[in-house]
Amino acid sequence: MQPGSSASPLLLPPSTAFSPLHSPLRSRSHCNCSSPRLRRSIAKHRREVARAVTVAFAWPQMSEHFYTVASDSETTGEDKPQQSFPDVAIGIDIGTSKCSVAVWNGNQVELLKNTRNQKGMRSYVMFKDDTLSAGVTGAAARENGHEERDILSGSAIFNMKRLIGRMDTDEVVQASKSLPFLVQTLGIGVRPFIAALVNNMWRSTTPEEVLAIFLLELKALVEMHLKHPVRNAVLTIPVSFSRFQQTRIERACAMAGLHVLRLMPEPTAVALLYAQQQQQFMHDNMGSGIEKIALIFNMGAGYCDAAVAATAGGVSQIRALSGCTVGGEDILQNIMRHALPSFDSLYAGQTMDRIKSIGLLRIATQDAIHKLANQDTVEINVDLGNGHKVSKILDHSEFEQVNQAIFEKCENIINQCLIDAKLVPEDINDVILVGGCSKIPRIRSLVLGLCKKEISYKNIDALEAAVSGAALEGAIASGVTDSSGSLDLLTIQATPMNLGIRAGGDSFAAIIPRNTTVPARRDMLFTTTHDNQSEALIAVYEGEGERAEDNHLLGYFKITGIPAAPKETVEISVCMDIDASNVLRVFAGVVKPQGPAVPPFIEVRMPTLDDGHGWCGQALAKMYGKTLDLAVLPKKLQP
Amino acid sequence: MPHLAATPPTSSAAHPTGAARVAFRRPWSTPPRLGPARLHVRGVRREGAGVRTEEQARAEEEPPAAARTFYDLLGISTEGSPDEVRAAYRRLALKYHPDVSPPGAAAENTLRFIEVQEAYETLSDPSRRASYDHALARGVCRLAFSGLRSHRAYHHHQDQGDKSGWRRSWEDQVAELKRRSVAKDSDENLSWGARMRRRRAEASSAE
Repeated sequence: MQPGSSASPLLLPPSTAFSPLHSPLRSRSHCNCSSPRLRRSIAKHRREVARAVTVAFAWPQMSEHFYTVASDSETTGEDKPQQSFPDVAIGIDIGTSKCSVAVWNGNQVELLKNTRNQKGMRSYVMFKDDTLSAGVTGAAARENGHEERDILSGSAIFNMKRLIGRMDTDEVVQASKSLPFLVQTLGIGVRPFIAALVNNMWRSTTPEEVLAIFLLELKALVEMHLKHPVRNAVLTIPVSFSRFQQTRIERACAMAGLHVLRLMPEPTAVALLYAQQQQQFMHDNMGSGIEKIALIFNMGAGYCDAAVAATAGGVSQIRALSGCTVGGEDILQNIMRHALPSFDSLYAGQTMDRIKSIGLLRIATQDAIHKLANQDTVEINVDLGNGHKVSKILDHSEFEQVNQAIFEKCENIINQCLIDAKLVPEDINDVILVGGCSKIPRIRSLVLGLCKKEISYKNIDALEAAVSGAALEGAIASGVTDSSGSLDLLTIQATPMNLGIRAGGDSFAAIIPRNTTVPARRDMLFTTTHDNQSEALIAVYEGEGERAEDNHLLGYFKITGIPAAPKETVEISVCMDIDASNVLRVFAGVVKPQGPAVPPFIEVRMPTLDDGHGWCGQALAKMYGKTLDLAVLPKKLQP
Repeated sequence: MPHLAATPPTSSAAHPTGAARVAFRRPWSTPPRLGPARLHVRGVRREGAGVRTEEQARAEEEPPAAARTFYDLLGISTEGSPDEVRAAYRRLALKYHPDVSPPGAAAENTLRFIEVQEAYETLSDPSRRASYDHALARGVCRLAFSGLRSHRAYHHHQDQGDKSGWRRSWEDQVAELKRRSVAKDSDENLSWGARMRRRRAEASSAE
């Protein structure tokens, strides 16, 4: 595939050079497969990989087969727990704006470049006639210089990381309506309708589908590079991703023929890289296992995360995580609205000339923000057509004032993180700033100021840290060992959000509080709110809100056959369990009274919801909120 | 005798990276077993306390580790410094965290890790440690873990579909140990009340 060639890897028949069927078995140096039994299982595994990949490649010609593949690979993913995988899982960082991929090459992590020599590839999928192409190859943008303009033509879907697994009532989805492609919302808590412009017609798609197409192209790039099929991947996700959104990412991966070995919150991937560097450093200096505390702040185009990690002897313990949905995209939109106050009235409703005009403004604003990182003032000067012109000089104080709310949110999550980790700024050894927005001077000074530090940690590349950490985790989780000990690492993860159920009206009772170390198992006792209440609704939520409705509904079920008793005498135990694979299970049942008249416990794997959960939560509350309610039973004092 | 003592507590403090590497490569041995003496001692202490609560009866069903003190679990002395607590926690995390466990032992190690985690969380927090120490000194501390009930609820369901067998074999072991300690107890001329309490506890746990 040459630069500028219009053929995307999606269109290549299975017999092309990098087809898995013809690829040589990978070199032994990558895996320590010594026993014949292991080698047999590896060979078997490779055959399966080859089959899955071949079918996936045949997709563009027969689009309906795409979904067949998806369900197949999803079930094979379930059936094959993480055994001794011969193939090293790749690390993928799907950014809102840019995406990168890295692999453990036997000695170190290597970031892969696309044919245009880019490590960070724009995250988008271009819809043109019958062909689809993603930003990995950039095949749709015929002229390199005009890629950004083509992306903004309405024919490309981007920012899928902000849309995936979100309801149309979500403010992030609402904010996405000013993007050049179609985002239609009904405001009732269902999946938004998104569509790309193909021959002056909106053609519908879904965020999962767009992401799957992108991942398919990314997978092809990796396979071309490694000359063998890949199947397993570790992906980084924002801290604020709900478990429902995580299932959507897994779904998109399954559609692309990738098995998700692990989803890592972005700052924890950076923490892993830091742990490796510290271990190496200690090793070289014969130091003792002194614990080092790092605060990691990651801000990209779509999300902002913070984490506090304690590292010693290769063990990285995540003490606290926090995140929110602000990023460079919000800064960009704020500046666009600031530069053009009539933005919303001018661009209500998408027409061809408005899409073009918005694209011009977007490019000019983006350019200005990038320049402002290195200079004192910047000029936004753009002719938007139809007699509209923007001519504005922007300096730092104005930039900071316009984005004040965003900077406050950043401060909040850092402060939250420190409080949750029970640390003061003086306890922090290193401040690590990563993500595209970490280049903004105000962000740097804000984070360093809160942590009372002069400088940030230097040995980590702001744009490559997360993907490198993911590739490290991929190697470790695939069972690769390294003679120099550089893979003897362990990350002890924590839950980013509270997990609990609705109780006492619309209250949220957190059973597993945020920042609980996983794997975890916690339980809580509840009681009935009515005399002779025979049924109770267990509605499981995840989030930070005090009211259940403010959180993400993950699923629900009923406990039935509760023995007749006065209210507040029955004890119902609700236990939440997060296992080694980060799967959440909820166990619930009556623990008092005991005896044969009590129904069996119920075990439910979460999330159970597929779609339309915005409506669902309200409907549940309306229909059963009062009658099937539970109340938290106060914890009995220990003797 | 407790399996935790198999790892010398000093090893990781002295050579952190070396210890880490050893821990990662260590071939997994069979699930830890507790000598009959241990259970017996525990039983006597309970009897000595005079009251057999439902909680204690439940504890009998749990893996023996659930009834040790947090200090025993981390393999440190009661005077252990915060650094020792952290070092012990890291050492045990490298042993029991599911990410570094062999597939066969992952389920059991996960339970162990959760216990280690609770011990660490209690002992690494000065105020929680102080109240734990206080309760321990008065001898009224519930030595079992707060996650006990959930373990039970979990196993209640695991048992039906549990094909792995480790749980069952462990239960067989405990039943055998109980039988032996009962036999031994009768030799020791336990009081009528103690024998009755024991019998009642067995009847209820056999349900």
